[in-house]
Amino acid sequence: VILLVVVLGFLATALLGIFKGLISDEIRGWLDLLPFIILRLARARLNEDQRQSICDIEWGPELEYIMKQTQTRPITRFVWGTKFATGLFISARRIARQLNRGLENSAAETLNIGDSVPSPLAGGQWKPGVVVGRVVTVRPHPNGERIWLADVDVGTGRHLQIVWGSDTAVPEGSLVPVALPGARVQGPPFNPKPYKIRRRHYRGEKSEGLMCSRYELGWDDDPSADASIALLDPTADLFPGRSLDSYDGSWRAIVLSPS
Amino acid sequence: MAAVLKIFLEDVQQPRYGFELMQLTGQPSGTLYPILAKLERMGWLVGGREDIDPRTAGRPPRRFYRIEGAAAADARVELAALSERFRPPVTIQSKRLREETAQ
Repeated sequence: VILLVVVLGFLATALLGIFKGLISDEIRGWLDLLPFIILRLARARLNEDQRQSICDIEWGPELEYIMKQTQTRPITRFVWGTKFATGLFISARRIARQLNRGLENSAAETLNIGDSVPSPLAGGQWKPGVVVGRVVTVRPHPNGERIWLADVDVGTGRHLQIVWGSDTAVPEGSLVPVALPGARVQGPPFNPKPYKIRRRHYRGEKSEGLMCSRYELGWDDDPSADASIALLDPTADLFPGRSLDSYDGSWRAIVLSPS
Repeated sequence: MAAVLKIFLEDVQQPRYGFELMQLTGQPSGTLYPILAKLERMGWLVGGREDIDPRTAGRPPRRFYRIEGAAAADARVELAALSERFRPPVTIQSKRLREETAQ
């Protein structure tokens, strides 16, 4: 009798273990399916002509990626997948309406909705719009002495022409900080109030930005730092178009010759 | 929208995906995708498909976005202008700085 009880107990424990595993797998399977079910419901809320172009080509593959990327983390997978699909389900009607309505607003108008930009600098003065530029060509200004013209690559596919005054030209190929129109830089030492960079003409030649000194960027308080354009280290992780807005504290690491 | 554009401007050559942008901006998917669609239709973003073999990867290719070359400069200008609108007047900043220095 004792032996029978032991055997039955063992069998019951084994069956319970298997059953628990099956239940766990079943629940996991359903939980994995839930985000896809929600996305399916979101798809149904789109217009028929939008279902393939938006849901099947974009949302579906993205959800598959989320589920696959977090394969070993079932809870993370469930949370991110459900969050992704639920957001789309809630907004699907609005998205369908928006895509149907077409776009009449310019980007600037759309930006003015009230979405603010967080400052990339902690406690510092923000100078958005300063990027790395590569000086492609340099030539003297045709209507002035010690005035130069440079074509500068700022990573946009179109070179900007920038006018600047100096005894010497910046070497071609140099990396320099470029303040694009709209950015603010510090004024000269005799009037250090920040001013806004604008597109303008100097003696008949257009200038679409400013190649900056360390002083103009607020990197170096020493007025002598305003004497020359800051040359950036080509071995640093810099390339045309890279934003320099967050480099306030670490400019020494990227300036080639702070002299 | 500004937060999304800012991510694209951090590295203009980097393709960005919807889920990645969700994580970086903190925007829910229902807010993010309409923004991406708007920017694409305005010509600021260019969309593309991930270059993978679905059989090897075990999933379909995802759609990515990249900021259009000429749009990057315009986007920077618009963001700078927007930032300027939200910047407190210099007098308030100076006053606050003086107060902090006094403390």
